Amino acid sequence: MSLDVLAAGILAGGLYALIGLGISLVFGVLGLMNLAHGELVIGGAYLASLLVVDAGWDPLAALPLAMATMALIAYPLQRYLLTPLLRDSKSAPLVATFGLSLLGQALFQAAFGTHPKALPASYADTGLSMLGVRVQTVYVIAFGLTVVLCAATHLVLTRTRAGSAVRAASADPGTAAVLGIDVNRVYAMTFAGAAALAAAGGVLTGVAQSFTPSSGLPLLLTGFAVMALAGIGSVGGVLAAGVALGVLQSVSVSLFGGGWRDVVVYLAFFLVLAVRPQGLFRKAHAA
Amino acid sequence: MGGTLTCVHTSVNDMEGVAKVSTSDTALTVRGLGKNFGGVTALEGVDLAVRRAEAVAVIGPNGAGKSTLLKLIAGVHRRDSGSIHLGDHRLDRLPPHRITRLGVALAHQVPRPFHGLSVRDNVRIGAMAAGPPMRGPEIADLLALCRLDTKAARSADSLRVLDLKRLEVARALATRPRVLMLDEVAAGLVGRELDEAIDLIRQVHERGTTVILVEHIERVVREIVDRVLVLNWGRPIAHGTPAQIAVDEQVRAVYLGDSSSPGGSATARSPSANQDMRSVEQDTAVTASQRGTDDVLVLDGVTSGYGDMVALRDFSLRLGRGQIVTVLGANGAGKSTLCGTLMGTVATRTGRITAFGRDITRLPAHERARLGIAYCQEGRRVFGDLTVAENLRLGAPLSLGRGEVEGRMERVHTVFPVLAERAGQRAGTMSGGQQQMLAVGRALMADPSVLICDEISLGLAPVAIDALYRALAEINAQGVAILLVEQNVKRALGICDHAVVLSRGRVSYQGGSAGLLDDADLDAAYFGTDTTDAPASTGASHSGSPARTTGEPS
Repeated sequence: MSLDVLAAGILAGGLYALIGLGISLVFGVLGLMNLAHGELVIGGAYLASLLVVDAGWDPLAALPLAMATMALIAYPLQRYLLTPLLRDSKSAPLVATFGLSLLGQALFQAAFGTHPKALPASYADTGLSMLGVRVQTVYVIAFGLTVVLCAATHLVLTRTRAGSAVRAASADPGTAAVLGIDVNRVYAMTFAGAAALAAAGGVLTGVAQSFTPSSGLPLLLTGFAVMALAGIGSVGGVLAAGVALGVLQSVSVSLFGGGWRDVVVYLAFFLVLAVRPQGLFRKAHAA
Repeated sequence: MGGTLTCVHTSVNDMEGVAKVSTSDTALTVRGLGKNFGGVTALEGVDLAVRRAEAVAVIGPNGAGKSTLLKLIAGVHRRDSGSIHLGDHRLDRLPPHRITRLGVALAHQVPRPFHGLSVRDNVRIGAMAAGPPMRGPEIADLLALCRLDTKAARSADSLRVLDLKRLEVARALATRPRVLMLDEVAAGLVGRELDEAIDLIRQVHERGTTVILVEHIERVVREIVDRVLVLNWGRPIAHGTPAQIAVDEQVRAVYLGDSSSPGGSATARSPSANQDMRSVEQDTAVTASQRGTDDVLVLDGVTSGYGDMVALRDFSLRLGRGQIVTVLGANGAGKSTLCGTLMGTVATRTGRITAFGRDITRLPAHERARLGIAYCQEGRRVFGDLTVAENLRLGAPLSLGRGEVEGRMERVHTVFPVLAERAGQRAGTMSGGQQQMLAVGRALMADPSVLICDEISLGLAPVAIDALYRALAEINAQGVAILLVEQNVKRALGICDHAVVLSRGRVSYQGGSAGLLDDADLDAAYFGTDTTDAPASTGASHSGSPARTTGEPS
């Protein structure tokens, strides 16, 4: 097996980690499985396509705008739709996110058609040589950006007071409220942050490969697999899990052929859930 | 029989009952039972032998390990040490369903019916747990016994609280238990409801079923059981008949607080010192009234509770600026509900809550916190995964500048120096006393005008309690009004100006703190020595006493 396969796996894993990070953040803080996360990712790609395809921007220039716009869309969704549902039961918001997922797909179809789209960029198809290993340029950029965004998320959560408010609301929302923290707002901010991360993942995915309105589902499932591998509550674990999954996929494709790609991913997902439900990169919590 | 029960204060006969193991008339034998949750000892060295057809009560303050004991017997939790036998069967290694089949049933404190199923189907499912299955007539008899026969076809969701409790008992009885364990089935019931609940338990007992009760309502214990086991912090401290327990000094000390005087510490205020403080407060009251209001917190006819249960009834209270008011009462009296209602974590049904002259009845908790009301919840509730410093910073508003936050932190550090030493440590790894100091310190970070403390001395060593109460006095001297909810009656009365005694959601005494320790009302609220059937009349004779108006010596 060549080093190229390993390197391709590591770099692809960066994108998986970026998508998994948003899912993990929402699940960790709100206790909500966001089934519409794939549509947040693809939505980011479509938003960027407005600037990239129609106005000729560079995808990396469109990326911050796509992130901000998805955050602005996500905030009211959480604050005025999902949070009120969250108060009553755990299953209602889950079903609501599934509805949002279907609605998102229908919206993409109506607005952009079902034809595959891609975000053209000079670095989309080029490769470069690093330490004698051939890699795709776009994945190098994606990996670098993922590391930056993971580090930023980690620093915000651990080094700022707003970040500790998020961790407090996640650990014990009742006590957080008693301390004067507006928990509903923390939830909405967290969801908006996750949506921004999703949009960033979407733009990079859109450069690396083409996408259609229904491309969100496989991305969502990959994100779930990353979260299951990582466990809840550790940004570094998410990054490691994404890379592990990327390598696993890349190696299995080179050994068994492309048809086995998803089988290996979902098998890993299942095995981790069955054997180590707290995730690979997290110590079991004391009761 | 060395050490089977370490602190027995009762007759030799009862001691033998405890020590005897697995004789023909012993239904259930518990020996040396211990259980830890994480690093916390929930139960240690508990021995209990229950004879066939006997009724035994397990009592003790919050966190004594009563529910844990029942859950260990029922197999819901695994024991860490000791053994449990039912006759010759060893229970502590069996899964819960096998224990149920052997004839041990547990009715939970919070009823958990199968939603969407009828009352009859709920009972029928209970009957499936133990073979041979009950037939229609038997289920009908059981429903009649529990007075659910007229509601058999109704959905369990439509039942009110008393009927839900009856259903919980009926479902437990449907397994044909030899031993029936009832976890506070009478909690939250009043008046005729309580009479009916007692009546039901008595009938079940008279049919030959062994009954183990965990109960806070003294009347239930007194009217049903033959023997009482008292737990405190997971350890048995006394054992005897209800009458013996009612006069046991150690039990009284557990319920009313440590009898050792906190001598020499700043917290001890003699009655005369109390008077001095009053005159000081009158001065502050004058300045306060010049600013327009002298009551920082006013409750007016407030009723609140959870779901169907009313835990606080028609409650009125005034907390003056810089005043300390203590709320006393037995477990389940409604003290924590009062705190939650004040803070907005428990919804107010009727009545009005005013803070600083503003109606806050419908305000959510985080907005009340921003008005200057800080709340130290029962059980500390520090964020265990966050560091001590992070916990403290969370207490300050997010909008506050960094400099001001650090300034407040320094002030908290002067009150609790240990929090400075441990700033970088994860809060969950500190001792209980340190965590409690962190909880109080975190509340102070909001720079509150009112501090609500719910059971802050619970589970702490006397030296830690001394430190906390010294800090409370210091905080109060800076003008912060304090509402103190305590089980530790002596400590609380030592520091407060004004006391309220709650008894099952109602006020049974309201007035000055001096002399309350010897007062019959306190005994009535805690031990039910007075007739607790008429809390309304007791309340009427006391509420509206002179001390209701702030600053006036009563």
